[in-house]
Amino acid sequence: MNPMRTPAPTPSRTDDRPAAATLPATSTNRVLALRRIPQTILLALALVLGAAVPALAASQTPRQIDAQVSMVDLAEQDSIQTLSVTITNSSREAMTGTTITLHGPEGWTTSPEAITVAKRIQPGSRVTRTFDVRVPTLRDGFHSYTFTADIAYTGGDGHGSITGERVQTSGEPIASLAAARNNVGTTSLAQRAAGEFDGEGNSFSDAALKKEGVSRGSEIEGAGATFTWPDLGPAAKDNVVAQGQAISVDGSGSALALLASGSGLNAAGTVTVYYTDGTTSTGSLAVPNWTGVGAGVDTAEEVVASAGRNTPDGYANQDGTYRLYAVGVPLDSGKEIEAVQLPANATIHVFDLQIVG
Amino acid sequence: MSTARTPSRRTLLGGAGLAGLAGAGTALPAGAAPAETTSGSTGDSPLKGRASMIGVPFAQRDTVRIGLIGLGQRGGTMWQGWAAVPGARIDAVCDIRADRATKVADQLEDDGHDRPREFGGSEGSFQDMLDEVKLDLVYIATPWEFHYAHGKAALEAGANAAVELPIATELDEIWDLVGTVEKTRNHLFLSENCCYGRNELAMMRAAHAGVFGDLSDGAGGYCHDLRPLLFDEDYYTDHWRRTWHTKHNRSFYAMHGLGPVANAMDINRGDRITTISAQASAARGLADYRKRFMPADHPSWNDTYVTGDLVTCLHETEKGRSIRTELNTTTARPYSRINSIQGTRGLFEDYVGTGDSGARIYVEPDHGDDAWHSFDPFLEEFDHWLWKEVGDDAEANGGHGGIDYLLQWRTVQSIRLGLVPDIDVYDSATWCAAVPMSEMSIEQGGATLEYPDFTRGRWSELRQGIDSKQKEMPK
Ligand SMILES: NC(=O)c1ccc[n+]([C@@H]2O[C@H](COP(=O)([O-])OP(=O)(O)OC[C@H]3O[C@@H](n4cnc5c(N)ncnc54)[C@H](O)[C@@H]3O)[C@@H](O)[C@H]2O)c1
Repeated sequence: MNPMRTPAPTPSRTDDRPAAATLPATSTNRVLALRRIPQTILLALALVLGAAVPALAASQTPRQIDAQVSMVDLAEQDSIQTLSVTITNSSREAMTGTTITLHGPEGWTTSPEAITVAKRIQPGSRVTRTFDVRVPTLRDGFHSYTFTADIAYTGGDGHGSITGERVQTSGEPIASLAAARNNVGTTSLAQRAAGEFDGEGNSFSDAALKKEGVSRGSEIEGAGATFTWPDLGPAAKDNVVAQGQAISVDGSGSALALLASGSGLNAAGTVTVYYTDGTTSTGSLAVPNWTGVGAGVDTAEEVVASAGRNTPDGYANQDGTYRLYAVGVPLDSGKEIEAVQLPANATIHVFDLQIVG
Repeated sequence: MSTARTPSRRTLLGGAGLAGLAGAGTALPAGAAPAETTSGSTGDSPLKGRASMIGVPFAQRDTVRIGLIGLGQRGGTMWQGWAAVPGARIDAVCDIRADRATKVADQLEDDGHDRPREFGGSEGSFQDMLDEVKLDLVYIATPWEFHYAHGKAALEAGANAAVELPIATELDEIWDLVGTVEKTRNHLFLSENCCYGRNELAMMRAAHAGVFGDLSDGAGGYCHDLRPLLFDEDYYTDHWRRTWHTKHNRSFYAMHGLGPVANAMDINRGDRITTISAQASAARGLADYRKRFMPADHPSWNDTYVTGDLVTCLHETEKGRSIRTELNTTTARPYSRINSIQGTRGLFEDYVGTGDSGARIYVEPDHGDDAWHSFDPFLEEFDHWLWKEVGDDAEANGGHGGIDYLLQWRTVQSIRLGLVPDIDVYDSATWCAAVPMSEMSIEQGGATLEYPDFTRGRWSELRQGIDSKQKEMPK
């Protein structure tokens, strides 16, 4: 398998644009995001950013230190590879006491944890240090791998620290939201045994939803979007449990709107949007538990409240209210979206996803 | 937690260990520098005049000439696997009981192999074998007290040595084996078959892939009701194993549990064990069994048992992880090696009877329902190439469900291809040091002792170990 490799990345830094819409977002000028590639080819996508770390004293002075993190070859699995961090000092002062601390993808082994550069990094010069990384067996599906080099120094541009980041990805996004559905969230009374919304065999009652005007293919308004309730029979997989999947999405707009609900008290995480121009943006997503408590109660818009739910024993909890929410994640307006990666939090259930113009 | 420096074994035990009785390790080898023998030394620099064997490949051989020492229950069956591996040849067999060497030689011949040379009859027969036959690999399956002497002699004779558990029973002997490997440039390693367990390997590979997030804790053990075997006068020769239970209160087999967890945590390959503390429950199991089942004239009635029924070792690592190992071979219980790992994003537990693998898992983001899931799909996803490649042969060719043969096949392959061993002397020493050090800790009321760094400061270097890349066996 040959990974697709990006061209050598150009130095970049954090784009400090304010978050666009309802929830905080960060945008980066990452070099290249997704490309359509043959199914058989492992996508190794390199994304680079130098993220400015706030430093009070020097917050107004321009950054003149750059940190670049190289790539690993994701096609060479089960191997120990080297990853280099290159620091360029474009300031007029020498950098001293420079320490590079590398963080690999969660659970990956990198070594050493930190390297202290013994020599001064003179103005106009650069140094490169290498770390060892085990590239393990990669899991199926779309995954991203972030290498972060935290660099601390004195002198130089006076900022004291800078972060270099490399994001690589493997696998292909799932073709559509419909193809990503992996959970039965709604059942009829007769087919309640198939329900698995909360991992305890409970599910939304299609009869209760109908009383609130929600039925196959019906429209639900929220977060500036018009959602479509899945046009599926009862006991069909009607929602996506968020497990970090990337889903192909076409279009552009100001926000991504999700029709969702939670099956836990912290149904929250980061949505990453990949654009056709190679950049990405991220935004926070938080959905309350379907009972109306937990993360996101202040930000999510409740769009449906149905009485009772189907349990393995039958329709129950008639006095309880089970809800659906609309939540928005800001987009970089004007950019064509290529894929949306859901948070890796399986208590988030997404029923529909729309782009708000 | 206060950390005590490791006391010298000789101070603690007064040199009265079983090793002294058995005649192994009675003298420190000439040239063993004090740094090697000072217990608890973290030995941060290589010994003068010797270079580390970290990352050093086996001397390549097209055919691996093997000699066997100890042909009892273990050696008397392991020969079959060694002889079955392509490119391996058993050239010599040795047992102090000469008839056992003859029996294995006969069986090899019956199976169509060349008859190996036979050695036996005296305590020094193994040395005759090493002096007279040029061997690439010596497999040692004698009682524990002989491993050090046999392993060291094999190295000095110019062979690599695969030593059954443990490589040596005392800390100074373990250090000396590390030094002897560095001096002779031959490899000695623990024949730690459990590290080749299918679940163990898949657990490790899932851990390395980040499935559990950053690892925080691991546990393993050897929990095997050995009571019938320990009292069977026809099983362990001269009931050597039961005798250990009358001499030492220690975790004799910490390695079966420690090895797989250490592999998952990249111990000596990015992290290192920094401490040990051990506890032992009362020694009651063997006496209880004897009372119920042993006739009045059984030799065991002269014994007083001192090994705790459950000996638990706790370790800390440089990266702030914890490891627990258990030894329990003297009470009524089903078999388990515990084998579990925990990280920031989930955990794995073996020996719980779930699915075909018998293991269960819970990880984010795959699961979010607070419920256990079968490990089976993860086993398929992270199955080690060795199991895919030789698993069927392994199950047909050897004991313990195939793990023995996989170890043998991979050892021979590594020598034939001139690869770095999966398990090196530093790993072996690290895992086996828990054997004597558990006793030191127990003697001090469970004191936390500093753990030696056998890599002499090179533990932080990321290296490939048993999580290897697939290779073809030469034709
Ligand atoms: N890794 C495993 O799964 C596993 C399983 C079983 C045994 N073992 C290990 O194998 C080793 C042997 O155990 P066993 O059950 O076969 O014991 P055993 O008593 O059946 O066999 C030991 C053999 O060594 C021979 N011996 C003793 N002193 C000798 C000497 N000086 N020279 C040559 N031969 C000598 C004995 O005559 C005997 O045949 C032990 O270390 C044990 O822990 C490991």
